[in-house]
Amino acid sequence: MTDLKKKDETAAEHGKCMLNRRQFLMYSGSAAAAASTISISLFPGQAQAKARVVGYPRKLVAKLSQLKENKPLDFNYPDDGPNTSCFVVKMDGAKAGSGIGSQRDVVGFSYLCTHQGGYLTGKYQAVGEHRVLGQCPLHLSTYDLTRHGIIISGQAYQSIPQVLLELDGDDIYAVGMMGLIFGRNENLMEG
Amino acid sequence: MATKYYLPEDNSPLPPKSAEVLTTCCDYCIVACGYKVYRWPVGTPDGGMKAAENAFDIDFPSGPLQAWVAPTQHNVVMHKGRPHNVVVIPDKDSKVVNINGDSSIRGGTIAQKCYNPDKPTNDRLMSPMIRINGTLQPVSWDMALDVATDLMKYTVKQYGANAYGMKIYSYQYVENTYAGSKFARRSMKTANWTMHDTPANVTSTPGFRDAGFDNFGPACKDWGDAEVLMICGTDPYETKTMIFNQFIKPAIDGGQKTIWLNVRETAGIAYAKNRGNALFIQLDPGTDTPVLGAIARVIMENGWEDSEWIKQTVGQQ
Repeated sequence: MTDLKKKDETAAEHGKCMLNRRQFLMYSGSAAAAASTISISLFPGQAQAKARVVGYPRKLVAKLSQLKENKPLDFNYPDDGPNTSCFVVKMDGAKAGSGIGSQRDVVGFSYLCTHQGGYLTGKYQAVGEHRVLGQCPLHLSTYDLTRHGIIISGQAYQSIPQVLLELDGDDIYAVGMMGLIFGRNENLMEG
Repeated sequence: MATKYYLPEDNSPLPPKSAEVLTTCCDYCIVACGYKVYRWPVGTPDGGMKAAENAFDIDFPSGPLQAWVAPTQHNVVMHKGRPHNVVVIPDKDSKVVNINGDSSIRGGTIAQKCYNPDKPTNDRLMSPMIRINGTLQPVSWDMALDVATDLMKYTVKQYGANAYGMKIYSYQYVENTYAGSKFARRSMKTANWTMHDTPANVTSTPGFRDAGFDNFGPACKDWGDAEVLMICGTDPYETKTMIFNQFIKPAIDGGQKTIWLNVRETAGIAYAKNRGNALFIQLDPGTDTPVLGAIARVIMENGWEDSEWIKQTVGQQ
């Protein structure tokens, strides 16, 4: 990650709703443990919340040089079980929250709509400055991929989960996930 | 959540077999979709991922259109003096409106409306407030009602019954609407009463009732059965989601024509346009009335109106 500029690592650079990976891990590891589940703040048990966040596998998912502009590349994460369809895409220069690469335009997301589990395969769109996933074939939810997958329009109960990426030379690794994958009660399943 | 950053949670508890199950409905709009509430004490085991271990009777991870608990559908509330988990999800047994457990983003997250002092609901008022010596102070309900009653009596005595006015919702739960209306009109004897969607309770406002259109009349099914819909100043995909998803969207797929007058090309309009049988008239804000007037003029000039229907309905009490 030598090509990352220091000033770009602040959330302020991305706008107030943005969060980079470093801050995510920092908040998740300490202060944000209380935000993980509400029962935790009533009954302290922060070690458990920490474990959930840091337990993600580090998985090679693509090579940066192999990505074509605006062409999603599919992979499975965090395991190869049900509901793990994800994609990584280079968004042709559109800078994104948690984006990697010199243009910060490489992002990863789940394909499963967080409304009722519709598959968003083939629903990536680049229109002008916008980079969106949608409309979902079931009930039309649409997500903004430059802003951590927040809902632009639709009925989903949360943002589309974002895969946290890391760049090591030309290798793109998936290292974590923000938001619960549809159909799971925990992203990391035992066994 | 004492941070300005958006921190999505990555887990949510499944209700155990032993969870209490209640039914409720979404109170955001007139459609009143059906929801199920699962409640179990914090500190007792959550449900497991196998069908035999959770209240949904399905294996997890679940598939499309099956039950799932998003983190925003879980909350912790006090119940009988003890913290309880609550999970509120659309009712998969719904036979009407949100059939098979469809939901909007509003109803889908009603668990977040439950009072929890550790969540944004912590600013909710827990008692009535009265400004005493310049400062808003919490008071008992008895005191607040006594003061309100005295002021209402004073106002009516001093200025007459119509000096007391009530603006009330026209739907939500019939019992509430009935009690409020009866209080204003029979007990207070005021004519100064109306529902939230009309400036005054007379047939000439806001105009469409005078045109023979009862704004809460059509059955949901009518939205799908119509050959043509003209939708003005709204997008039911966003504002009456179930009417769109369950009735209008399938009708559009089957060839229903839609005409949209709106400032923005919102999601429902985008969908209808993509299906190829929609006309989208993008207006400048506030110009919908001249456009409707122009359409009415063209109809009248060509004699396309139903004169008999107008004679029978318009202007009739």
